[in-house]
Amino acid sequence: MKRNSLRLRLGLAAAALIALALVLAGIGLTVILDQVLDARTADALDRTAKLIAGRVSLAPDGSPTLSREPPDPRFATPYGGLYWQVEAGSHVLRSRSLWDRSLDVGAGAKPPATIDTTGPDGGRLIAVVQPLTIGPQGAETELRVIVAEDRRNLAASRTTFLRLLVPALVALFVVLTLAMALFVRRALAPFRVLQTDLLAVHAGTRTRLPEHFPDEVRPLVADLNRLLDVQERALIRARDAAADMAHGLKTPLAVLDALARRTDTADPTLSAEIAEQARAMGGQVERALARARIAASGDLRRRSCRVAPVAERLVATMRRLPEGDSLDWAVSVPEALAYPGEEGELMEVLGNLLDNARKWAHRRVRVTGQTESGPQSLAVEDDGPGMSAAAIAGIGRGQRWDETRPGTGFGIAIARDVAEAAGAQLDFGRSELGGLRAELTWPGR
Amino acid sequence: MNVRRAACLCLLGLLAGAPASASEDADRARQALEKGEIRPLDEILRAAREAVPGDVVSVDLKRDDGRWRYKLRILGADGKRRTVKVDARSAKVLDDDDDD
Repeated sequence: MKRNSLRLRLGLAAAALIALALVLAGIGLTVILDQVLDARTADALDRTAKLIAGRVSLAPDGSPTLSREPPDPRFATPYGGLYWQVEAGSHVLRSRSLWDRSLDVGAGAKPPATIDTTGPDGGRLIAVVQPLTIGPQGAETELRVIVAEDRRNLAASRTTFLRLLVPALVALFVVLTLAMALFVRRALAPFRVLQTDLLAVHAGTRTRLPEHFPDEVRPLVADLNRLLDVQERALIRARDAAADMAHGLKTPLAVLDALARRTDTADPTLSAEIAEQARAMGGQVERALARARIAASGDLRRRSCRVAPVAERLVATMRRLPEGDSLDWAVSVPEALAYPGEEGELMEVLGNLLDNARKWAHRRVRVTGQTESGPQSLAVEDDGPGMSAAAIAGIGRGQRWDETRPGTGFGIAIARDVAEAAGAQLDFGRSELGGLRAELTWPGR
Repeated sequence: MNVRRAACLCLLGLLAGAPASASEDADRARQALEKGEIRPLDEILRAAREAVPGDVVSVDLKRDDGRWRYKLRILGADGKRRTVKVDARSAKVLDDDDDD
């Protein structure tokens, strides 16, 4: 998945939110657990305090006595973690577990109070203080029953809980994140379908996108379809207009040419000038027609065609043309090389380049292709005179430059127009054969 | 109230779980109830708590002059412990004087 993927971003955001929620839940559960543990412990201590309160009586000397001690064995073990203490004025009765110490909770504790205090071995205790008044009316004695438990007993329960809680939350995180990933995948499914359909449009197997998308995506698809339709109509209109104009100009040009020939004897200079201008206009008309032909490829559709068969076919044609039969044609184009346009466009480009080479080459023409990684290229070289830098610059402006050879002189300019429309670049330089090197390059896929 | 009652029954459970002598008086109470000589403890507790509100912290069943008597100790919210004697056959509160 790419870093810019919506699915990855949504998935990560969901995972982060789930993690945050689970961490908060874990903290909340731990806080709740602490409260519940405290409340449960206080409740148990309170019950023991009441049990003691029910059994305590006073000896004649005013010291408290218990008819029976609470049953928990920890009360009988020194520093056992569970302690009780009954105070009656200066007389104090303690559990055996307190051993050589006593519970000190201060006098201010309001009934019934749960407080924290320090245990005999330094540990923190949670203690319940139960005030008690016993004795007949008029001869009452104020007592205080204190029952306390070491907090380390609670910590053990807490550890057990956390040992279960953490893996449970981690498992929940995994399950929820997977569920979210599935959810995001499901939610973005229409875009995957749209991508496939767009590829079909690019490949030309489909002219429009299907309309069966969810409500959220349908406006986008409808607009894309409308754009495709508008573009198609505009292209047809432009092509028709260019073709109409070109064809409309052809007849007047032919007339002009005929007129030039007729005045040939009367004024040869004027006649030559008119013929020259008519030919220049004819070249522009050819160029406009070529542009109109390729205009259809300027839409969303991305076509491609194999170069080798086209090159072979064109070279075979060149061999049959005058001046072509005496040349040495060398074609070495890899089978895999593909041009990013329709076959007709490639024929237009390569045909012009080969025709140009045929006219100028002395003995040899070489066609080579390169399909390694990176930019793809196709070169046509000859051993003719080559072109000057100024002449090369003139091609871009549609200037006619080969006035010494028959033809319109616009072939190269047309080739460049067509190549650029397909996203390819046409450059000229000096060939190692001695003549011109025309090289078509386009980005690899 | 239910929590209170549950705490109370737990307390009684603790009493019952005490050494052998404690279960001896429980056996006595069961036999007396089966013979129809006393009312069940829940009626006794209800009557006692009506007379003296608080937590029952001690239960004692005694036979006195051929009559069964419950002696209950009830701890009030103010921390005052009272002794309540209840006639076990009629579930009537005999007296709710102060602690002995």
